[in-house]
Amino acid sequence: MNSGLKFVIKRLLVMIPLLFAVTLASYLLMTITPGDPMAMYVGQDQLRQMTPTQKEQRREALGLNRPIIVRYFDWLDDILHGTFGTSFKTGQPIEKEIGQRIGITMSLNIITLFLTYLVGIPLGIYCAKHKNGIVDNAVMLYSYVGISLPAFWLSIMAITLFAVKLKWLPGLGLSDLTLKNPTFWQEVWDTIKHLIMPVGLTVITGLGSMARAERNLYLDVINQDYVRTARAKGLPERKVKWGHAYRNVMLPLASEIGGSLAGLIGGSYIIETIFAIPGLGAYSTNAILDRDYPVIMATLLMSSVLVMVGYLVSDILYCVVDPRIRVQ
Amino acid sequence: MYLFKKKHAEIPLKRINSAVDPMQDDEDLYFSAKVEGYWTTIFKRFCRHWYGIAGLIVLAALIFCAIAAPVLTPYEYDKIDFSAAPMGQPQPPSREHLFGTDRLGRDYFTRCLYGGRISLLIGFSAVAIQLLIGIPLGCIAGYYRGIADQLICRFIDFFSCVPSTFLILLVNALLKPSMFNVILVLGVFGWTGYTRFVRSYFLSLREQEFVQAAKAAGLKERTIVFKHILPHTLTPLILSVSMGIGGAILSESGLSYLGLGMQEPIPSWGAMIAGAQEYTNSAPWLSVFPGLMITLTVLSLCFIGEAFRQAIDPRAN
Amino acid sequence: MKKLLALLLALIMVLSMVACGAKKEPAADDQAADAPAADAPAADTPAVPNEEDVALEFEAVAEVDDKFGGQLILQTWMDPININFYADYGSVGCSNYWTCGPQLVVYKGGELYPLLLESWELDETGLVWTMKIRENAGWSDGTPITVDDIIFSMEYFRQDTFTDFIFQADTMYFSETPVYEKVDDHTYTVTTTVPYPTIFDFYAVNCFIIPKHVFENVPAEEFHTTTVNSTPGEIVCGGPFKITEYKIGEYIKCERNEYFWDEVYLDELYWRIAPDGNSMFTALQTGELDFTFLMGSKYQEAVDAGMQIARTNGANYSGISMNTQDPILSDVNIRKAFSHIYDQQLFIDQAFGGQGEINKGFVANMRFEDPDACVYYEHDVEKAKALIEESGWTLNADGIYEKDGQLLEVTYIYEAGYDDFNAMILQSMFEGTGVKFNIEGQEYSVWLDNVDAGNYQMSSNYSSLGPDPANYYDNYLNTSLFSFYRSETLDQAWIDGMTGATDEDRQAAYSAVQHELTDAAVWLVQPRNWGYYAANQTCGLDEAQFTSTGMFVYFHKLYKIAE
Repeated sequence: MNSGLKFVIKRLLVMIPLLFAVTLASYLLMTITPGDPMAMYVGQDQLRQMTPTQKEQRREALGLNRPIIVRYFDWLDDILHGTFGTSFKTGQPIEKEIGQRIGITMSLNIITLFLTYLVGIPLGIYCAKHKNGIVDNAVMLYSYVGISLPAFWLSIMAITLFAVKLKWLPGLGLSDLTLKNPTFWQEVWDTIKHLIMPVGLTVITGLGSMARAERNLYLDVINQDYVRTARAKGLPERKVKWGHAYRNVMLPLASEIGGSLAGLIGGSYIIETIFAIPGLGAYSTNAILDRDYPVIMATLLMSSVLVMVGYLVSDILYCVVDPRIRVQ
Repeated sequence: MYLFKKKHAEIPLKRINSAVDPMQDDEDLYFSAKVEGYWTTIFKRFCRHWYGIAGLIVLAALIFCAIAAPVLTPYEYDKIDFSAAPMGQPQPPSREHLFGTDRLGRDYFTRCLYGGRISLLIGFSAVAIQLLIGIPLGCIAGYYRGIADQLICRFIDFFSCVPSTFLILLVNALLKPSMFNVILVLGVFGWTGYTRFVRSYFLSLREQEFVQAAKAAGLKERTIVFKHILPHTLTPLILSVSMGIGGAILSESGLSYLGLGMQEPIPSWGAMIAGAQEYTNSAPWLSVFPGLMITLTVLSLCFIGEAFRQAIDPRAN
Repeated sequence: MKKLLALLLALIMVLSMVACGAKKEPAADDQAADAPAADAPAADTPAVPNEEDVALEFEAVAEVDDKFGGQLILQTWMDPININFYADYGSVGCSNYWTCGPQLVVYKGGELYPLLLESWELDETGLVWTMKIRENAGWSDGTPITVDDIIFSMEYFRQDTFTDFIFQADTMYFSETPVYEKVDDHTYTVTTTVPYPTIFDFYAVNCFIIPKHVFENVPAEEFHTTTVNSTPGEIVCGGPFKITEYKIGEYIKCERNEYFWDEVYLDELYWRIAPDGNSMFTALQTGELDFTFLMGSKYQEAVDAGMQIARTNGANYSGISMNTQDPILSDVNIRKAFSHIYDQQLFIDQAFGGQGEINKGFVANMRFEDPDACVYYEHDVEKAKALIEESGWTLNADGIYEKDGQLLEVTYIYEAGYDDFNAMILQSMFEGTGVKFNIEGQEYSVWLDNVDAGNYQMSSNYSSLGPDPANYYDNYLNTSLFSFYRSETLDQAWIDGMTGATDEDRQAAYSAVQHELTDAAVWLVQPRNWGYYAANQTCGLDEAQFTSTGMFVYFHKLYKIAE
């Protein structure tokens, strides 16, 4: 796999200047903003009560007085040493805050992805096998419905219906505080109950697209030469099916991973805010709304890295799974 | 694939193509005195799908409503009427107010219509910008190859390797919120898909015979690119474009929901939903109507695109 | 087969998530009462509560024999900035401080309630306070709370690194540094060269007492970021509760502090972190929250659901600044006219949904409030027009007042995204009055800059300060907040108020202040917005003494009513 390795290394090398460019552009962009950035970190009352000297001191402490380029390279220096800096709003080290939240966001995303797979792939294969049937058409239309529904609207409606009016499900958070000494299974059920809506909504809206993609993939592949060749060579049908099935699962996964990793940072903001789940999506988007520059830069960097890594992993998986692509 | 669009060439080609394309209707196999145009065939095929027609009707209705908004309602979208919302309580739909009122007594139906104006305008404009940037770049990259291609490919990489959602949010937060900025941001961060598409089409098309023939005939390169090759790439693009418009509308409503898009008193469906959150239990119509409008708009666009795609290339199903 | 694998993997994911969140619960009573939900259909015009209808206190809802035990879940807006809440800058830290930190005194309705500070005495000179703290108070690790801790805290926060007014409060309210001296372990004196009447406002609002044995080796620069005293379960707390658990973004769990100077009813107190106002109310309805701030629009729903509701009298000052340095607005007749045009009742109806009252005074919830000394401008457009015309303005052909070729046109700036509705209501009030009223929303930092620099004609202006008017003196000096209005008599009156030896002296001074400010129509006085707090029927809140700022005097007297 020497060429493969070269390919990966080449991609990694390309990543670095790209990251540099993206972060520098963003840093410069943030200097265009009007207004005194201090207003965002010191409350209005406090700001007004501060004498000019105190304001200066605070500005010094926050490091807002130095020229932009200096601040950028300082930041870069920190990054290379492994620290992301401290948040303006909370004064806490950013890597700590990210670390506290990344677990939840990742779990949420993984569970969502798995459930979408669970239902989407078999559904897609069924559609492919019964092409142009009722189910197939319905799924196709449904996939469009899924992406047309605005996520924030759907969540609000769902909470009002299920949590407030029907009281079937809890409305926010991840755990019920009124449970006393819950057993392990009670806790599991409690967590599941809290996750049904946030995860469920994402799965339901994304299901259609996944099924549709799988269906197209299946159809695409079913007549391919290598399948016929495998059969012609006398491979047992089971093995042909297994290889086929393997590809059916892995290829959508390959393309999903790219998007999934990228969406890790900001993707689930709506769900996280509305359902009061402390995740990275809420954290990064709130930083933007609060103009918390260190956090913005840190999450932007993470996000860019994740996007690039995601595509890289995606491509590698494609190569591994589909021998035809390797030729390139 | 139809290689020429001029009508006088249809007659001989019809026979050829019916041999090639087994899915075509029987009636097309025979000579008919009436020559059917390219677009008529497409339209006929389009009409076979109920969702395409439905989408077209709904979209047309929405566009009509958006344009004719001042005529359709006697209210202004920003006219505050305290008597229509006593004690700041939004009123449910009634005879005077089709969709009810919001907490300031403004007619909600009017606001939805004007919000439609904004959304459709932003959606179409943003995609227009994306196409304006993306297509020429794709043409250049695909046809001329070489350094231009390399450069443009790097450019595409740069733009697609950045987290676009994040950046859209960021840039919008930093710039003063206004319609122009929103369109600009959505346009600038979304053109890569079109470029790639056009480029890959060009890469395959430029080797075709008709291009060689045109070159041999001495036509200028620019003419070849824009008049001969490009038109073939446009029809398959329609699905992407319609979904792109839908996506832009969703993005804009998301931005407005977060407060980074249109500001009061200009209505925007996303902002209206944000304002309705307080009243989901006591005044559900405030959130139902804008959400429904967004969904209908985007859905109809998707349906149109899908039906169109099927109309162009029925074999692909 | 692969489906099973997938299912198994998903299951593993869920289990691992749960494992991350496993918490240890001590044995406690078993209750999970649901809030009674009577779903009445929302009326077209909701019942507007009268002043008398909604209580300012929570009443007892049931007879309870044994109040000890149980848990309550309160709500907080955001994660603590630092779980070592002493170092927190303010928002959540404050609510945690009141439950977990040693609070000396608390104001309720102008009256001072002793907490850790048991008694106080002023000597004949009026310059020396003798303070006595309770003898049985202890930190949660068993160390007794003594005067050493208090004196240590005072000196600690006077260091230069603490530029925030929260920590420098005792020197910011006051021109000199009071001298603290220990008399014995539970008594100390505060000596000043001029009377120090605002000392209790400092103690009640901005005073932080930190445990000496924990912080004595922490340098001031590291105070905000130190990890000392940051492990839940080991944080040294001096209030009725101690922090035992903190799940980020979700909740903070506090347990009874056995060394508190009084009996604590509750076993556990949870602070649930709920940033979104709408999800808060949902949680209240589903029983996931026991007590929370209620948004005005939810009032009717809360009533229908049978919740306990108490009312607060609203934030402090809320006025619309009229920049007296602006050529048009420097004319007091114009400002008075605007005050007559402004319709407080309409604003209450539309912006507060009827839940508020007309403000005849100047600042709500302030000690030494004297509405009678204030000039009240009733809503009267004819009077307004008369005043405008008195200044030489005449109506032009478009129906707008004009003088010397200049239109009577003003622009009101506000924080975009927050005050939009209020601005639009304001604009509609000025329609048809001959004044051209424009509104302009600006981004927060831009708006703040403009206001501070005086780049505005009219601007929104509100704040929430402690009850003692000495707090406002700094705002007055920061001229923008008081519309750049200054006068010598006013300057003197403020100082007299701060240094008055007796309450009567101070009252006289502050009455003069209020009179002059309203007579000069420095602000468009805005009505008071009632705030509501709602609680489930399982909360016993009557003993805790609900304050007008939405907090309790005695957090340790909250109790749970078993189902």
